[in-house]
Amino acid sequence: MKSLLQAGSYALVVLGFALGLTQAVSMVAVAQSPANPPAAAAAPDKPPVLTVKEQSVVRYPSLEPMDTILVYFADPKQPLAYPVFDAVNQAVNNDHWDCLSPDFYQVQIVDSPPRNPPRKVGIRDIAAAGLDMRTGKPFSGCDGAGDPGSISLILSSRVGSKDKLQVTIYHDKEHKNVLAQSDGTLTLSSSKQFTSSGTMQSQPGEALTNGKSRDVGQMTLALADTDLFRGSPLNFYAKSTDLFSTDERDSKSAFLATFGAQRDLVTRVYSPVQLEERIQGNQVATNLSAVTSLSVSLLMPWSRSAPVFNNSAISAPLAPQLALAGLYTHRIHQLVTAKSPLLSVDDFSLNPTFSVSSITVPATCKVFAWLGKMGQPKPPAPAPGAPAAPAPSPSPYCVGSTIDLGAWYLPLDLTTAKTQRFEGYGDASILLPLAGFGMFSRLFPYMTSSDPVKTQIQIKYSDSVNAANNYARSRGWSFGFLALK
Amino acid sequence: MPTSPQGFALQTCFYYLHGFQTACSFNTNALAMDPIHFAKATIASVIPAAYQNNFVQSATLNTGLPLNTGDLAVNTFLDLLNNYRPLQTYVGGYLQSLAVAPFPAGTLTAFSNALASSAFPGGSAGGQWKIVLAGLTESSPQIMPPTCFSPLQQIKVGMALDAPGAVMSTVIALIAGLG
Repeated sequence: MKSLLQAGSYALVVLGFALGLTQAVSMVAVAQSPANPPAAAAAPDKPPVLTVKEQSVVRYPSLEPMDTILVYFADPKQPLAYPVFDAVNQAVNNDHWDCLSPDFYQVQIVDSPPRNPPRKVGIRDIAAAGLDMRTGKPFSGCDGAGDPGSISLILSSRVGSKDKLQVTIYHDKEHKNVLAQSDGTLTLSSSKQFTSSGTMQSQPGEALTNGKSRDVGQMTLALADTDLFRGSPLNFYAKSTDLFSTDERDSKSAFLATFGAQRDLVTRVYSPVQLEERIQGNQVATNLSAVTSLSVSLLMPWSRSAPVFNNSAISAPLAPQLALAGLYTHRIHQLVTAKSPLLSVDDFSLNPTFSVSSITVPATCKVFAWLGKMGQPKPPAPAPGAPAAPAPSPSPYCVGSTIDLGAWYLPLDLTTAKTQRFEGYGDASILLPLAGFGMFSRLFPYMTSSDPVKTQIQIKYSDSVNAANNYARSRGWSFGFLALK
Repeated sequence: MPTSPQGFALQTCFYYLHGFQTACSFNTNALAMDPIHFAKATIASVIPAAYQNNFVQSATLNTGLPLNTGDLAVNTFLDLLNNYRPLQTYVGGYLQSLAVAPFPAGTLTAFSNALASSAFPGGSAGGQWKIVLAGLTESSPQIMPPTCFSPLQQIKVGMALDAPGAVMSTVIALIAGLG
């Protein structure tokens, strides 16, 4: 078990490889079983049915979303029969066969034959699913003993979300001898790069930019295309998030259009670099600016950050995220109000941010265990000689917290004291699971049953600045219930 | 490390199971569970909805399996493992590799349907089965965590192996069910 622990921690070091899908397929180190019969001899008349599944994948380092099919060699749907498993493990004995080479696969759109004859879909790459615990990296080939148990077929061509796909594995590159074939019913329902959403709402007493307030109607709109140019070494994307109001003076009205490109900087660590152009302002463009940003994010390597963020004092399931963004802003129009003074036409800012979520404090579990017992009937004392009742399990859920910190450094934007402007901001939330309080569990059983953090009390303090509104600052406490369905 | 590729493949299943457990760092009880109790714990009781994304991200890093939150609809962590790496298949592969000739050279399907008495002559007292037990429980490091193949479970499996007319699929399912 110790080796499992060591291997597990090592697996975290190779973050990039864990999600990486670009490994070369030439390094096939197979441990063959010489006693197995030749693959061709075992090929049955009717090929085994291959189990396949849709999969969501972002390609590293281009960060491009990919249409991907997960192909099972070790089939979870056939626990008592292993036809594909056997066929793959025997095919490994064929020196020319490579389970990670696209040459031996075919993906076809097979809907509505014969009107629409089968159409081939290109395969861009194949990646083994699962880490090799000896190396902490994905498997580099099929070993004849069941590894990898599944592979990901990354498609190079687009398919419609209703197209029915059939995957075939062949013994040969000429595609003459079928090794296994899926049933041709797979659809990639999430295979769409363009998304849109809109909601309308009435907002009573909304604040206006002239200092007054009135009832308004608002419509929020979100459009996004996650992959403008497929197959590019960079991921190009565009999106827009807007809030349109029935009153143009609505302080919440906003327009934000973004065009950007991104790519991972270091393959071993999640470290995307983004170049973005944003046009932002309010709906009638009385406040309008163009922002060019170059940013780099870094999910701290868990092997280094775990001792700090996951120990006996605090426990975070994921590494904190650091980001640094340099922004050049050209203000085309500015809406000057009492709360937002006139800013320079051209501006440059640096925006470092630090965020860490879902931190728990293990020491508070004991407090919750005590609170959970409040009001509960006292267990009867054990009879003399009877074995003592087992100690109750401590509450697994404790006080949680999320922290976001950031700053805007604006070297070209001087304050009234003629000093360079620096606006720090941040928020911190304390999350108390309602189930930790025994009395709530009795009063509101649905809100606390089966999921201890289904309902949490949130106590939040935020000190924020709105970059889209001349860095207008707002701060305050908020209290509420976070309810998850 | 286990010497055979099949032993290593089976051990990898438990490596992934441990990867799931490590990903439950938000639940101190789950982290403290022994492997058998964690494997059979219901996912809904261990991973609150608010932590599902955290679990999926962390477990994906630990195992390399392409997990998503939809996978968490299954009942237990053993079911989750079986969805990507069916334990029965890898237990079967390991047993097949240690069975008497000609089974190691054949298919797992044929081995699964074979009589236990022909795959492991002598049953639980036979020399070949003792090699299986030693591989599973005594080699260093062990292929299966001790609690996942307890002495009591070893006796049950031995009885199943010795039962007249028993086929290997029964023995395989019993080991893969953990206990």
